[in-house]
Amino acid sequence: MRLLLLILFNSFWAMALTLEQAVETAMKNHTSIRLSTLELQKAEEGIRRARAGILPQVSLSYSYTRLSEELAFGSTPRNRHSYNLELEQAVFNRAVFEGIKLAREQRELQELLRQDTLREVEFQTKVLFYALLYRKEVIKLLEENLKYWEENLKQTEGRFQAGMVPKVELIRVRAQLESVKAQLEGARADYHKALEDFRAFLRLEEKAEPQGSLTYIPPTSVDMKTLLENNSTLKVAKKNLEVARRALGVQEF
Amino acid sequence: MVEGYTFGARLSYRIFDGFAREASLSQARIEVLKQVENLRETENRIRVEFFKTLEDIRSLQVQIRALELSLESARETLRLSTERYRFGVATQLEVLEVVSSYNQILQNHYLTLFQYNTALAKLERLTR
Repeated sequence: MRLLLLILFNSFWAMALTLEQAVETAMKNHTSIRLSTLELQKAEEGIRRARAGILPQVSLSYSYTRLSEELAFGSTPRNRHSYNLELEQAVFNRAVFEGIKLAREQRELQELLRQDTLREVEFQTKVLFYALLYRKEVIKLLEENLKYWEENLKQTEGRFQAGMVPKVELIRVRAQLESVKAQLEGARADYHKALEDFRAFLRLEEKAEPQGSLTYIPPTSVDMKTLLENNSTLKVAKKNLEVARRALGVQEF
Repeated sequence: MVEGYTFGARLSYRIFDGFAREASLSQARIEVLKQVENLRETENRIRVEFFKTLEDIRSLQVQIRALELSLESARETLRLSTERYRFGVATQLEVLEVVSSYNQILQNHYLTLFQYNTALAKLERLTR
């Protein structure tokens, strides 16, 4: 019995999720954010690789040759072991230093790309969340509508039995009630589908329901200067140009 | 068994690389030009998106205010119409029309609020 209750509880219980929690979850779980974090780590390793150009390169090799008696004349040893240790050190190579600067800029670019991805995911989460709230409101509206028509049907039935209204009115109310039921089912299906998309977007394992309602929030004033300074996509485009110029500088040496 | 060692130094300078360097330089220059174009395009696109979003917000604010008033009026009409129907003064068709109109306004109100909140999120996205 307890097990049955637990199963029932798990299948019907859904976690309430606020907009802030949804955004936080998306920031942690969304695939594009995880990928951009890995790209950032890769760019950091790129700096280490570029730094290798100023460090010495050491290599060691060994070879063994055996000569047959016909080929080993005089004091020529039949067995020949050869060890080779090579140390290579660039005294000065400007391209290496430019390469390090380029790797650093690429890391900065990855960081900006990550920020841009974060902003985009945050925006997408909000749109999905608001869409769910809207669908929830539509369901609530249709549920109230259904109650209204159920009550109306009861009254019309009473009035019909008392001979106060013709049969056509009763049929009309019944038709209206069925139509509202169908609309409600459609709205619920739309909501559940949108909820599944939302869960997939957040990569949530458990069931979740958006909490809150659509309200009017007055807008804050923003100007073009703020936009041009802060927009993360624009920052990425500017950095891409810087990186391309740096890469050209490296090629020139 | 003969033991010994050799010691040497190597100096190299590439005289001809089959024009590989020139080709790489040209590629890097083209990449710079590409990024300049990309920056211009992004700036233009963001400017347009910004103005469009501001226009959307302004228009949706007016729509919300209008819908709120319509909703208030529709709610009162519905209340009166239902009462009139109960007392047998109004017809059922009249009530049906009033209910349908009220629901439509309410649904439009929610839809406009959804669009308004989405536009605000878009504005926030553009300025961050």
